[in-house]
Amino acid sequence: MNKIQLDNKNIILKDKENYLNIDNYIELNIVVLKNRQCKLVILGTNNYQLNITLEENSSLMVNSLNKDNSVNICFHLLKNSCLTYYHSVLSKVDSVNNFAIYHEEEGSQSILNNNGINLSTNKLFFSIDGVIPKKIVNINCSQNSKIINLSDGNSKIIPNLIIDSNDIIASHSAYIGQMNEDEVFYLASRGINNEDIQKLLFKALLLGKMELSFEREEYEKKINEWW
Amino acid sequence: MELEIKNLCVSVNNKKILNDFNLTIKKGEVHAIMGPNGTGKSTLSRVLLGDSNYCIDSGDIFLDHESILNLDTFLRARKGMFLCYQNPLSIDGITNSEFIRTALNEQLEKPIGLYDFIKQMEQNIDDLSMKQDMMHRNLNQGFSGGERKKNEVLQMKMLKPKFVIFDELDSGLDVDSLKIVCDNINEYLSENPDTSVLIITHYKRILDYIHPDYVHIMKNGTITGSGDLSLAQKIEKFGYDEAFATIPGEDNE
Ligand SMILES: Nc1ncnc2c1ncn2[C@@H]1O[C@H](COP(=O)(O)OP(=O)(O)OP(=O)(O)O)[C@@H](O)[C@H]1O
Ligand SMILES: [Mg+2]
Repeated sequence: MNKIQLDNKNIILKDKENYLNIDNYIELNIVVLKNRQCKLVILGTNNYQLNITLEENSSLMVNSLNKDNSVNICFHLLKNSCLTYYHSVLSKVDSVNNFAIYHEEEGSQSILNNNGINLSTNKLFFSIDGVIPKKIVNINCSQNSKIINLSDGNSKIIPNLIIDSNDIIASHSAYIGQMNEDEVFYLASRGINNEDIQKLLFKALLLGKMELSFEREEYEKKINEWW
Repeated sequence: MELEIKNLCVSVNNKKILNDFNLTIKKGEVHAIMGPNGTGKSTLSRVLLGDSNYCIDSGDIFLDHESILNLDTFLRARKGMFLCYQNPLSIDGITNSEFIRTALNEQLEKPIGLYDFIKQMEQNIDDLSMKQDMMHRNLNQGFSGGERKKNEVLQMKMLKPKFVIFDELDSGLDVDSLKIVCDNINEYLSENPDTSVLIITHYKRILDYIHPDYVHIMKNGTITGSGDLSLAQKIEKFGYDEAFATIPGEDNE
């Protein structure tokens, strides 16, 4: 595991596993080198901006857990690169999360999954632009967003697919709502109290699909501490 | 554990489903309810566990002589009620073991140690001829119909309830699996003889394994006739209407 040093504005990912702890405002450029397959784990408790470039034939899987912050993330996907991004947010204060995905060259793929829990009366926004310019073919661009509103929060999902090309597969799904009633009933019918049901379902939403190894335990602890 | 349902009327979206429903299941008794599709059997089972989607218009439900109508679902479960669902749902992102362990710890004063928990799970998974990896998979995610049913019984074995409702346990289980599952349930009942059971089913086969003390016919949200295992036989042979007509002393139109 490579602990990334933050004194440098530019990071070049070469290692398989990388861990980034963002607890100060930061602007960062991240480059995944040609032909590399990297994984990045982010723990964000402050606002940040990332510029992420995936070079030819590279792939990047990001598992990012965030609390009470806003982010701007911009992706540049070069030829045949493959991005899988899990961005999870737990928030009690306004949180605006902007993503722009530029499929700059052919054959690139992006799967962006945003999951959020809006705990209070704050804003929680996911705004996602997927951009595929003219003549860039063989693209797969998929976005899935889900927000659970626990009280009267102002939650929004704004997906935009800006497509100027033909040979592409693009999709988006968005859900904003309460916890799933059937799931709550199932768990309650086994004697689990409301607070623990929330914990289980939050964790399921925020971490469920992430590919975490030993960080999972730490992340679960964080979630329990945070809400 | 004794369950008494008194004059229960239940509706959903102003549609009446249970209509003056009465049933008493004494400690250690096994009752079976059979009845046509859509008659309200699953509704009954969910109402017993306190599903707030259903509106109780009148009547009452008593568990060991205490009304449970005002109890939240999780408290009914902690009192010992357990519903083995007709269609167990799956939840992505929660593993089977953390789900069962959480549920188990809620009823224990001191949390169960990880080692003891795993040992118990392994044993029960083995008893049910399930695959060991099901412990670590997401709750029912990608489980086949039969595997989900077994997983419900696994939860029963781990949580040790005192009143168990099996809602169409037999649907989805192949012949061999049904036998294995019923053997497990019978063993549980002989080890915990005070446990009361309500079996909801369309077929007599499950009742050949788990012998009911009473069999009831349910129609249009109420019990229209009761008997012993031979009633189940008649239902299987002649259908509900004719079986119903043969019940002595009933006011059949
Ligand atoms: N939440 C609900 N909203 C609307 N209608 C409902 C709801 N729950 C049950 N019903 C209706 O109530 C009736 C009884 O349903 P229920 O599932 O209890 O039947 P059942 O006896 O279990 O049938 P089956 O043998 O097919 O399982 C059906 O007509 C069903 O459509
Ligand atoms: Mg049913």
